Amino acid sequence: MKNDKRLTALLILLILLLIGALYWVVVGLGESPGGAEQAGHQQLELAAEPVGGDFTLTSKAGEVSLSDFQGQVVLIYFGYVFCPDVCPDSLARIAGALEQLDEDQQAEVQPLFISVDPERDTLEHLDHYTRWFHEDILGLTGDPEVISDVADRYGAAYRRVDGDEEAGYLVDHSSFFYLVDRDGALQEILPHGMDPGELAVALQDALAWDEQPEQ
Amino acid sequence: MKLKALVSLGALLGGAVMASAQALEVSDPWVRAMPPGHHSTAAYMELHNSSDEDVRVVRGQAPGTTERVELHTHIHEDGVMRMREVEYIEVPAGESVALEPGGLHVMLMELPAMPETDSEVEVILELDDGTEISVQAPVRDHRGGGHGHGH
Repeated sequence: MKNDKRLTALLILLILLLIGALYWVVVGLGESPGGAEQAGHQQLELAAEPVGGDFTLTSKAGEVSLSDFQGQVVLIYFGYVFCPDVCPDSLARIAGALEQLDEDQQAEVQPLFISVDPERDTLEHLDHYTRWFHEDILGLTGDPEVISDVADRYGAAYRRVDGDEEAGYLVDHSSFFYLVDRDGALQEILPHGMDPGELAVALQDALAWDEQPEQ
Repeated sequence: MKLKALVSLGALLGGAVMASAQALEVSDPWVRAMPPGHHSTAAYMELHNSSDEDVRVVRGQAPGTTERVELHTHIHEDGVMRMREVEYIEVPAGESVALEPGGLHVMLMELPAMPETDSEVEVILELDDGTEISVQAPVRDHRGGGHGHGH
């Protein structure tokens, strides 16, 4: 008898939980489109709160860690070499921003291009590609798991899309510029399509901001 | 989200089906210079339809540059850029449509050789009534410049 009551209570609890879960799923799915649309492409929902942090990946010249650039401002972009339109556009913007900095400033900024397509982007290809846009842009790749972890921590999202074409697959990905301060901390996430002039100002601000003594 | 974006894209593209007049003007065409050895790039331009009927661009060609040309768009979703092929690009009567980076573009794929900066690439747009419009698109190196949307 006692067991029956317990069982009933447990069942009721389970049903309530199920209803709750269903409500969450239905309402969640129903509401997220509008919300995400309003927020536009500056809203990231696929990743948790970006925290940034140190990482180690590989460049053509060998292992590279974010901490290697301690004292410099780092600009990170996630993309891939086969990316036909958005990445070249973003890299051209980075190159444009760098050109607007003076030599001293340029020396204090390290742009990184992290591949979200480690399967196809060889170190050679990556290096050739990024440096064509600007000599300073360092192309990085690594184990898919490591890249995935870094992307998660910076709030970058990507997903391989397999088409039926022999020309190869595409990778959907977010297109932000991640500004990392001289101490290696993620300082700002800049929107896709930012004007090279504004990007240069953001870099200059980061350089100036970091020069101030710690409080 | 995805569904909604697809639906709105469908609504956007699925407007009136009409025979097109030969009134599509193409201005400021250009092709993005890419590193030597790279096999894809894109052509951008401004399309203006001065007629009173909607016009659809249904196909692109780039004879002498590549046999593989597609019309593409980008769907911006949750911060993610999804590039997708589209069946056509519609230019409503009296309106302009910009083909620009991060948006609609004519995708040139499987290029045997990357055209050199400042050379010209012939791009042919085929309309839904069979009309073909040929433009010479200069290859522009946009490193360091962007494309002038700021200021």
